[in-house]
Amino acid sequence: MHTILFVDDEASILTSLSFSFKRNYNVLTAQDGHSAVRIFQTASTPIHVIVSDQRMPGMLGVELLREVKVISPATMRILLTGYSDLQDVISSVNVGEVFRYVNKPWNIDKLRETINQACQFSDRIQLLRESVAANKTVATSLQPRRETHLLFVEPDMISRNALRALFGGDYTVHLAATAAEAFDILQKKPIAVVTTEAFLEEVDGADFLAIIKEKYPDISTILLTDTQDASLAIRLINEGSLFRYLVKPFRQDELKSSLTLAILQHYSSKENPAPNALSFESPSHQPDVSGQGTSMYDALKSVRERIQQRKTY
Amino acid sequence: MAQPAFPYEDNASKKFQFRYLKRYRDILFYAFLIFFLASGILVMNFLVADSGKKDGEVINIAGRQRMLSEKLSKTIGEIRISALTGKSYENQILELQDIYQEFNSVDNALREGGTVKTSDGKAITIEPLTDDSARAILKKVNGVWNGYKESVHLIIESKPELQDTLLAGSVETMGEELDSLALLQTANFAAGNSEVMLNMMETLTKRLADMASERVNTYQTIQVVGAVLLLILFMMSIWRVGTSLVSQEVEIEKYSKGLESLVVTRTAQLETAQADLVHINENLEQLVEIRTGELKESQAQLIQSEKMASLGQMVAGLAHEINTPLGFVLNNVCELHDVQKGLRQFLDRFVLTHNTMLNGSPADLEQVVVENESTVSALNMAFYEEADQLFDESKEGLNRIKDLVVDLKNFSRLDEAMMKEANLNDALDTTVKIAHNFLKHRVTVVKDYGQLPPVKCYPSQLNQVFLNLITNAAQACEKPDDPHAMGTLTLRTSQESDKVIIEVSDTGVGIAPEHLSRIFEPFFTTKPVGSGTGLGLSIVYKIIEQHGGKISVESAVGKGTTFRIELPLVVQVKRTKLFAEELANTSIHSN
Repeated sequence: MHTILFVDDEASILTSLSFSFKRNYNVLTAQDGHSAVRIFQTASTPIHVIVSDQRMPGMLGVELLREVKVISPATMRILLTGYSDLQDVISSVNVGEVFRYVNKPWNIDKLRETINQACQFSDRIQLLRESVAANKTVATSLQPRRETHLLFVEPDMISRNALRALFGGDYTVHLAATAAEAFDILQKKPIAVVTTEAFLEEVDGADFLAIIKEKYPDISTILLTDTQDASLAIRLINEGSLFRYLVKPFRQDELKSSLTLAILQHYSSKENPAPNALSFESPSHQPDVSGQGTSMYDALKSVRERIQQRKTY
Repeated sequence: MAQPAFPYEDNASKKFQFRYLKRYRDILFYAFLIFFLASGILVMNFLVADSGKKDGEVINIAGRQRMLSEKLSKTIGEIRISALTGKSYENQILELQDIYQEFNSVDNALREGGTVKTSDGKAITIEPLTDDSARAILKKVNGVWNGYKESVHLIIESKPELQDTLLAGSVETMGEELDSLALLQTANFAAGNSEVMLNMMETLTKRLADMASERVNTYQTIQVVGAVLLLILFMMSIWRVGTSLVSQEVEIEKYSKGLESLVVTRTAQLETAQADLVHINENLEQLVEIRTGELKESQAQLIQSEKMASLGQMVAGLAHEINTPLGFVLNNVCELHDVQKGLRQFLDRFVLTHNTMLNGSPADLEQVVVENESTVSALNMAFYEEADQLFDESKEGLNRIKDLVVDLKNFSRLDEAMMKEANLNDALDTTVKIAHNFLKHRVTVVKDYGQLPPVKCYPSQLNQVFLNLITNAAQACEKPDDPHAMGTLTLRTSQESDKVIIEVSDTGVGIAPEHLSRIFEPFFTTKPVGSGTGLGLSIVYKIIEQHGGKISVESAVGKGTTFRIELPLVVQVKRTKLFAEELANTSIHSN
């Protein structure tokens, strides 16, 4: 039986969620961040999923999730919040690195499915971690930087040139103005990190990142945009497994550190493949690593269809 | 068009002056001639007077000469008588000498010019006579006088005895001496010629008088001619002035007619221009109306966006506030639905059991009971007890949602466009409830309410004021480096005579002194671009102003800020459109 921790300052929420899940899960509850952290620190069995509110006195949800990530990396982090302030959503990605972002009021069936899936993810990650620990293969960050390929998808030429100037010296940088160009490059080059604008001419940035995640699960994705749209950000988290959401005008150090982290994540997940949510839910589609013969529009169509059919958030 | 309204005005006045000079040039000439003639006549008059005087003098002298010649012959006669009678004539000789000298000098003066003494002893200078007939007379007089003169001279110069002889003796006795004879002759001659002399002098005087009158006549003729000429000239100039006046009149008439037509033209032009102006004006008015409309619209949009901005925060809080109970109520309902499904199984089993008991055989009943066993054993009473709790909490959650909706309704008071009496303590409470989610992690709210009488106001507008001040206060207590920092928000109300005082104090960052005077200005904001319209406090100010109240602010950087609102208990309804109506109108516009 998996263990779930619900954190909310509203007792009635905890009662309600407990009632829904306690028949199938080992349910723990906490009314604030600090007690949640204590539960993690004292837990004898792994906690597979944490579902936390964002706005709580004493400690914000994303802060709690950041601590949980350190204490218990295999715990899947879900944010369940009453109001989607863009800043909250962005920090849930960048700080909490959440697995899913769920708005209140929730759909209990979808939440059940999501938590179910999260538990299985947690199991697999735990397994991987154990095998990694056993084999002691810690090879991250050993790759020479020049052999790291970065792809920037940016419609604006000036921004493209700026990005090349910023990273061209350290990494092998590829630039694309459109999703089609990017798709072409992705099929030919071993890209580690894709940094993209939210709105590309032909496709929605969220869809684009979803395709990338499906076809190349190892690639880390960063959104670099001047579009401040909370619902888009939520889609990017839930559908595109976004690694970072950065808002233009960006700070150089912020972008650089985000990229470094994204590269690290790429290499670690390459060595220890993490499950892809979409493939996990409908595993019939195997990632086409060779990439030959698949048009972007076919991929887009299939991704959209499968997102529609999703039972989870 | 930069052209002056009357382009001919200046030219016309210049032309007029020029023409004036040209036109009156001949009249001026006439005037000059008249003046010249008149002064000529005057000079002539002077000349006449002068020559008359001179003629008079000459006539006078000629008269004296005549008198002298008379005297001379008389004196010689007396001397002769004296000599004949043996009396002394010495004195008479002396007298004769004087007369002789005087006569001689006058004679010379008349012929050659010179200075002579008049009878009254005045010395006058006379010019030699130029008149021929007068000169001829003078010549004769001189001829006579030359003969006469020697005789007289002889008498004067001769010895006294001879004188006796000469005067008293006969010619025979004197025959021995030639001189004596001559003297005698002379004496006789003198006696005889004195008459001739007298006559000749008479003639001269007469001639001189004639000459004078002749000259006067000449001068008078000239004067008359001049006067006639003057008259003619005068008439001519009058005629000239008359004609020029007439022509001028004609021209003026012409000119005025021209002016009239010009005026007509100009008037027409003016009318056109005026029509144009009216047209332009109308267009302008339309344009102004359009622009005003646009301005109003954009103002309304700004006010709207400010409202949206403050509403945005409120809605964020409210959404959270509502979504939380909604979340668990919805979840509970779903769960309770499942519970009810389980209960229906029991119900079905119960009905089946009951019916079997009534109608069925004991064997049937036993089978039903056996079948019930699994259902009963699955029964978890704790589950149903919890279900009761779910109901309770759902009810509580729904009540919370209901209260929120009521608060929201109270807050907006959309159904109260008119002024109403409201308890401002309640209004503050409602606003705090609305803003609860925004406030709860930022400030601790302290309420220090006094007893307030109802205030006549627009409650929804005052709520907007309170919300703005309260959220500002909560934001002021935020600390970027510490998301869990809590400030204190104090709401204080009291009554002061006919006023109600509301104070909103925070323990936040405070307002810099240089910003303090500007915070009620529209668009003044210290928030980063995009996070505030800068209209919030200006709207607050306007609303309070329209309620006839006052708002003031005190602040210390790092310590906190206090906004103080004074509202009169009786609001004077201002003539200006109330903000609510203004907003209502503009929002209709912007739709």
